Amino acid sequence: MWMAQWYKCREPRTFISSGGLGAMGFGFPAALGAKFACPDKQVIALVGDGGFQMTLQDLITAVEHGLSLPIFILNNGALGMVRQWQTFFYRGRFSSSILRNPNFAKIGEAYGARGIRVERPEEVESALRTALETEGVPCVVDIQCDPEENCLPMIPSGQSVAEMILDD
Amino acid sequence: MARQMTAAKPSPSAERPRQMNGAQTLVEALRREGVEVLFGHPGGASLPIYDALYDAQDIRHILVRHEQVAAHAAVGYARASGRVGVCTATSGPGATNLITGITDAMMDSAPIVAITGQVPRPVIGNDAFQEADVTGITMPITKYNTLVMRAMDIPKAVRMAFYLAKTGRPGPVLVDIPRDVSQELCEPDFDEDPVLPGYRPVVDGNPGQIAEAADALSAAERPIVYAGGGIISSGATPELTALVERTGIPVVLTLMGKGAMDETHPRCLGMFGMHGSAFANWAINRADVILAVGVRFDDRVTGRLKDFAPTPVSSTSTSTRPRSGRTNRRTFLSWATPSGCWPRSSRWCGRRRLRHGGNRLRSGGSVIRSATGSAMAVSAISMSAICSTV
Repeated sequence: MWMAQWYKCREPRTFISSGGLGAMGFGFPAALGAKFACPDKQVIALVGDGGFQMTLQDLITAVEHGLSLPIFILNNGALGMVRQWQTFFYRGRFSSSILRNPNFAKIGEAYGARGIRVERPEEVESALRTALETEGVPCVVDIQCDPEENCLPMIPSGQSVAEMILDD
Repeated sequence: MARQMTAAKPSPSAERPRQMNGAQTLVEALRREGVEVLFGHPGGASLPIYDALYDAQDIRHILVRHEQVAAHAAVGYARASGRVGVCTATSGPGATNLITGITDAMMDSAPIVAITGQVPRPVIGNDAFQEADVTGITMPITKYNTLVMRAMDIPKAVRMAFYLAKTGRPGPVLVDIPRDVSQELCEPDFDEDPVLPGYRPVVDGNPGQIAEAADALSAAERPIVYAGGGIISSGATPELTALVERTGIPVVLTLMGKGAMDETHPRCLGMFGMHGSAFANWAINRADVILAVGVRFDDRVTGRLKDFAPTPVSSTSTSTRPRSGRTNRRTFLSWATPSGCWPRSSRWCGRRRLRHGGNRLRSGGSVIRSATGSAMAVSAISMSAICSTV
């Protein structure tokens, strides 16, 4: 959703997200499919730490086929949307929404991909550059994010624009 | 129907034995549909298919490590390229692992064809090893599905699958092939046309409704275009941009509509809906006429229906057709695909509606009737007609 909010899309077929179903674990395999469809285009996967763990086993498929496919993980150590709803509608009772995560950069390396861990904002740019320039293997970029950051604005389910939540 | 279909391309490798088994027939049928890549995972019931794929140098099989990835990758392939994405799985657990991806394709109208192995014909229905009633399971989440019971029927099933997946409102089609059908010898006819009575995707707008819509837009004080994924699947971005530049009407996009128009265009307000910007949401909420193109009035877009764009229609707009008792709620409808909304003409459509109580738009446009000041659900073709009329 952050990608949808902040990425200004200029051309058709350049933004692919699971819209109606909202399936976690969709982003990386969809990027894999897009890369096979358009091998000459720059394809990136932008995923969450929760979703990526649902389909990350196919990193090996990307490695096997030598795909130049950067995978950026916005890692907030939580099932972000669940945590956000719990913040707003369940008085901050974070039932089963906080994640203990593996080291994704090392997982990438174990699969034969490149792995980068980003812990500070000033490291983001060079990590992005490295990932986008990496040829012939996927590059897993694990970006540590603020666990409290919400995806806003938000119109709560079944309400109207007048009830829009603009800030925390 | 036959006339609408693209003629099957003969295989480049000219002389093939006339007799082949079902699996070889399937591979040849896929080749004739122009399939270059398929994503899948083998298993017992699909072994004959994989044996045939072993000889197919021109079709690239991408071995995934979980069938869910095959289905999602087929969707990614289809949405990035506009071509039909193909995934394969074996019977039982292989097929059930495709379900999430197939459902995603259904919800987001992505053209994919899923090919599943099935247990041999004599044991179907016996709770055989790795048996699952896949056509039953996927009935509500496919545009069409079929269990092929004779090898000679495979070419027709494949042509039908690709035709249905990519025409009208696109979506997933599943072809289930029992193992012994894959092994059965046959003399396939690749030119036989499938018969699809009742499936005629409407692609032309209704001139009367187009005129009404154009009148309403011309008379509107605060019109807006509400554009969605149908613009992308029908390639209508140039028409949308032309309409916007000609009329100056601003555009808001759904999540699925990202890419339908250049978001840096001064008339494009970007994404609205649950997580859209405040300004895009307020823009559509205060509009007096909404031109809805390639959208389905999803609940994350409208929010509470009675408060979605409640502003009355401008009194200057005439020739409206009241659709409900409330005089300020008026609707112009041009039910048309391909960009569009409804109907997804398949024989399952009716059954699906009964089962689920109906997606709101599919169930007959009730959301439009009850919700908006004035919404026009139109196709790309209608849109360009509107553009030249306004």
